[in-house]
Amino acid sequence: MYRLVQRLLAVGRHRALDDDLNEELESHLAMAAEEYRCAGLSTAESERRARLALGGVQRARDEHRRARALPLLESALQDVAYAMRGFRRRPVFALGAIAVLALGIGVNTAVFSIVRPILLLPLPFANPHQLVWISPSSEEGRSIGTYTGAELDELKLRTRSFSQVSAYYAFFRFAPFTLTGNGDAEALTGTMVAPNFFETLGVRMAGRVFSSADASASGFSSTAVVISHGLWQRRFGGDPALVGKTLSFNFGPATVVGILPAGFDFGSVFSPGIAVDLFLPLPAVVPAVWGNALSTVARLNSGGTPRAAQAEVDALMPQLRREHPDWGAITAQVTDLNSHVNGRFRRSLGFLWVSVAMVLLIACANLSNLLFARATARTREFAVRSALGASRGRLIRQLLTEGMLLAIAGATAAVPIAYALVGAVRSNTTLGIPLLEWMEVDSSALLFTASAALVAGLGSMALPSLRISRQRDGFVREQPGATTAAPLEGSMRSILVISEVALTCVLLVGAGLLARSFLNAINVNLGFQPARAHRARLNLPLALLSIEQTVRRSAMLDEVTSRVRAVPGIEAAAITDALPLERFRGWPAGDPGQIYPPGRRPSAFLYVTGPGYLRAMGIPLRAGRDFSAEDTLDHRAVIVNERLAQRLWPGQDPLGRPVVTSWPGTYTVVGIATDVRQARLEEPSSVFQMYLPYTQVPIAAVDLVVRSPLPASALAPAIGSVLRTIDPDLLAAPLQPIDDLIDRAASPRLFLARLVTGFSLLALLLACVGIYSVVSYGIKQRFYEIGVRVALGATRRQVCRHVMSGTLRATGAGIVAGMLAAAVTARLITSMLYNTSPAEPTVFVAVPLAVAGAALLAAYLPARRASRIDPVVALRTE
Amino acid sequence: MVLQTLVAIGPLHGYGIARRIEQVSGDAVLLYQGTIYAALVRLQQRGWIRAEWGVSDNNRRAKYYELTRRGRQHLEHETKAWHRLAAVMGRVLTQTEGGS
Repeated sequence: MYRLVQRLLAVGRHRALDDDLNEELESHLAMAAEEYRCAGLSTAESERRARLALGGVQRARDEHRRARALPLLESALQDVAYAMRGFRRRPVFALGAIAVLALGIGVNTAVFSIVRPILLLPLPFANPHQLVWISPSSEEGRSIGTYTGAELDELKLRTRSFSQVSAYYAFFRFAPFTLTGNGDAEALTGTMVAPNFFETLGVRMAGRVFSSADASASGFSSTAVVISHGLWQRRFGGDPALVGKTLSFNFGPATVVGILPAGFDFGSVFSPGIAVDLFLPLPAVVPAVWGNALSTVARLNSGGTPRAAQAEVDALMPQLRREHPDWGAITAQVTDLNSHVNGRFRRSLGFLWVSVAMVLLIACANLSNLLFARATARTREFAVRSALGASRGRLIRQLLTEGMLLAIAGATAAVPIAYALVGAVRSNTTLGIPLLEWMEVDSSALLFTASAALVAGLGSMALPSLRISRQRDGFVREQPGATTAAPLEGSMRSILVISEVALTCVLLVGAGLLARSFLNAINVNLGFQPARAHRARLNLPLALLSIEQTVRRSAMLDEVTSRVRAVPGIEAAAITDALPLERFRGWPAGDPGQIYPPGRRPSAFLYVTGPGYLRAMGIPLRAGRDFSAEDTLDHRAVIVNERLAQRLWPGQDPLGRPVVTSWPGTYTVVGIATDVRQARLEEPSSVFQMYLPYTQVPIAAVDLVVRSPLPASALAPAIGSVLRTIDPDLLAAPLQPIDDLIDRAASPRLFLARLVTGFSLLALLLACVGIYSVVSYGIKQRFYEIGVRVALGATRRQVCRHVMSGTLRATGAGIVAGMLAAAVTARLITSMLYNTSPAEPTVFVAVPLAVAGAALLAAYLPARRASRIDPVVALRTE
Repeated sequence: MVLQTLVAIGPLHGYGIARRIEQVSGDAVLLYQGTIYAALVRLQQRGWIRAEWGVSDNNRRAKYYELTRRGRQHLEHETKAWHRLAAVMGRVLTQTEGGS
């Protein structure tokens, strides 16, 4: 061990040690000579004898060297120094190779960091594999995936598979929470959670969780709240003494009993793209009037599986159906929480990862090509070294060292690229992709980078090393003027070009299809006109929120509407409590004269609006009228959409028909509106929608919608001042264009389309660089031959064509292969496409043309230079 | 063997060590001159000998090697072990005939 250290230390001092040895050898030589002289020989003879006796000096030196240091390390360092000298002599080559590697590895690391929390990691909770999501299968009569309080209680009581069953209020975007006091009022998104919610997830926080004592009666107000880490930092500067303090909200004062830890973001798991900052306790008995509004999360017993739990639940459901006929055909599906949260994105992220891996392949192919060309150009050098005694292994080691050095440099340059890309993705906080803040370039990503670099470095050295090992002794035999490179070489390079071009085609087709899907999605017929419409979140005074205050509340909303309408430039203005693509909840809607199977009354998405909403949103009326002043509590009115009308009264005139719903009273249909895209852009409007006036039904979370040709910046001050005169705290959030709703709904699609397009363009660039270098190399090899051709009268055109032909043929083959492969693989991503066939003709025509054009240009540039070769110069060069 | 030489003669330069070993073993062990340097380096790295440049008896510069304490200990240890082995071998080899 001690010796090892000594030997390591000796590595750096080899020159000093050599000198020392030489001195010692000389002194011994002198002593030996002296001895012989004393024995009577002449000076010359004694010296000769001494030298003989001393033996092979060089051998002594070698042995000494081998003993004193680590020869392996020394020769490795030699290789490195040699490689660095080589790079300095050819900086363009070295920088080009490093750039190619940096881009390839950088985007791969970035995508690895992006897909990791969704594809690779378990959810960021304690024992996450025990967590499940329980929801009813979707069917008529039920809102999306939620239960009523009573149903949940039964589930909890009569199952044994779960150690904890918990829930949160699913329609939390309708909950009007505002933080008031010390500073501007801030509208918060918050939800109500069961007291054991955080415990079920295993989230540990500062302060305490809700106790059953905290549970309020109504749910929408409370004396105890829990706030998110983000809010704590943002609004309270991370004040360590916040727990226990009382804050004022629009629903009254409340004490902060707990602050969630930094690692937990409710929104990023349960509602991606929305920041949920406030948590209130659910009432002990959930009001029946809420309907089914609870989303359920549970923790399995240790050792339990979702399947076993599903079996138990399946056995329970028929019993429940019998005991509670008004619950309808209640069902329950137990899925593990990870699948529920991430399942939707797995396919597209998997595709993203595969496409970026293809980019790396192309980069490696390029690198291989470059190194291959370099290796061939250094034939002379290898010949000399081989003649001097370097083994084939040593030469290959030299090449490997160079490859690894380039890979290391490339990987180092890749890290900032990865950081930048991941940072750009994370900064888009409204992106509807879960676990956004868990995407980071951390140690595992760096490890991935290192492995990628290793694989890239070694992989791209494979071909050049092969070439070296194929040479027998004939290193020197190859003349620069040789017209034909070894056929194996040529075909290897063709294979590289073909594969690069083919991969690029596949990627470009994928990108084209995704881009097309995105465009189709945002151009879909929404049913309303987002252009020139804006919305502003309003904050109703607490005193007006209760049911008793309906008249006063409606009067205030009426006033808001009429005064905003008076602002110059406003074409239309109205109040609503729900906006398409943003928040929605469902209420049952049926004709009292019709009979529906128990619990199977049709369910419609509800908008509580004021008069003029349809006009403000640009939703055409098919028949009848919008709400007006006539629609009071004595003349209850409802507007339904075409689909609902069709469902309830097929083939009949819906106007004047009665509707009953969750709120007491019978409502008369006064208007039919067109269908509007409700939950997602892509879903066909097969949903039922109804509009009820705020004079007749409670309204809490309110948005003002205006339509105007003026931009938001011109409108905001006028509207703001109008609202402030009515109530200083009325405006809860700045005016925003309705287009934002569409953008947000399309954001995951845009995200994927952008990234894949970026990667495929990168691939195209790399492929063109590859083609360029292959053609250049070919020219260099055939310098002499081209000179001969020109001397014999070839025109520049002919030379050009001759030089490009081989590569262009390979490109053509690559395009064909690539398009065929693309046609096959496009089918795999059909589920990610929208209104786009996997054989979309525009894409399948544009891509080969684009690739062919780019390849032609990339091949033409060096060919042009070749055509200018002076034959005299070429012929003279040997 | 190098260590023994140094014990016997005291500090000596490399050439002297090699010659002495040749002499003492009666030329039975002919160290190729080359290997002595490697051997000396190995011993140095193990910490059993020490090296220093000095002046020889005929006013020449020479590198002198000296035994260290650890080297002395190692030599004693190895010598004992060698003798033990020799004794055992002797006993084993002399009982080939008529042993039980």
